[in-house]
Amino acid sequence: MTVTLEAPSILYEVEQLPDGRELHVYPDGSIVVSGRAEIRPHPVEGVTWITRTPARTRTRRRPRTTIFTSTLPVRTIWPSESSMERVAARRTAHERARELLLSLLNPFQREDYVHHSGFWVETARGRIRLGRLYNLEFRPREKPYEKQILCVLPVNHKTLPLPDIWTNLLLVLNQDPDRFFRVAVRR
Amino acid sequence: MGIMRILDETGDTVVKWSVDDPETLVEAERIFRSLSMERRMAFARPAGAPASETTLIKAFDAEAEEIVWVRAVVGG
Repeated sequence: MTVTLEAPSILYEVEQLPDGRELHVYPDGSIVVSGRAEIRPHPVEGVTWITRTPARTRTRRRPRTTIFTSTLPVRTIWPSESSMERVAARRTAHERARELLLSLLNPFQREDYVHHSGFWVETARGRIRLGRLYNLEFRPREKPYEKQILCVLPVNHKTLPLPDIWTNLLLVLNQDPDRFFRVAVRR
Repeated sequence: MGIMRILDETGDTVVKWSVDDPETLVEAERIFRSLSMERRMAFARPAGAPASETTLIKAFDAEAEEIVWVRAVVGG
């Protein structure tokens, strides 16, 4: 009995890789890479680095910016107790003012204010809508389809909660409309 | 018992007086005069009445149930 043993093929191709390693390609298609890769392969085949890489091809270190360094202390700023107290006080003031205003409105005005944050006030000169600061819509009685924008405010109005401003203007409009229209600025 | 509501940054500051208590009455009158001098306007109303039932007052009314103090108005 004769057995023919096929000797493993040792024919294969060897290719130099640009980083200094060798690529072995066997007839069955398998590949093996051997050798040690250079850190920076030379861009021209067959030439190796003699000295350090030129400065312009080296990666440059980015200048440090003070914003992202960890040397700056990182501090989380929570709302201080006093600022939270101020917010709570403002909210309480707003609620008190709103309560007073609602007590001064008639049922129609109250419903309008609750749903639309504004209400109409009837005067001898026409209707005026309170609800938009600095922009009070006025419909003159003689020209109901004409819209005028008025601006009237209580003195030092920024220290008052918004509903108090409407209370102020509502009472003046009801009992002293002449004073209201005398000072009104038309826009 | 009457009350004055003075509109301010807290919503309103309440001052109460009673006709039977001269001390509170004197204090309420003093505050009324002081606010009048600041050109504020006082509106009296029955307790809880709407704005249409208020009255502009120039002198302290001890019988008033509620007085609401508002500021003078200006054009913006």
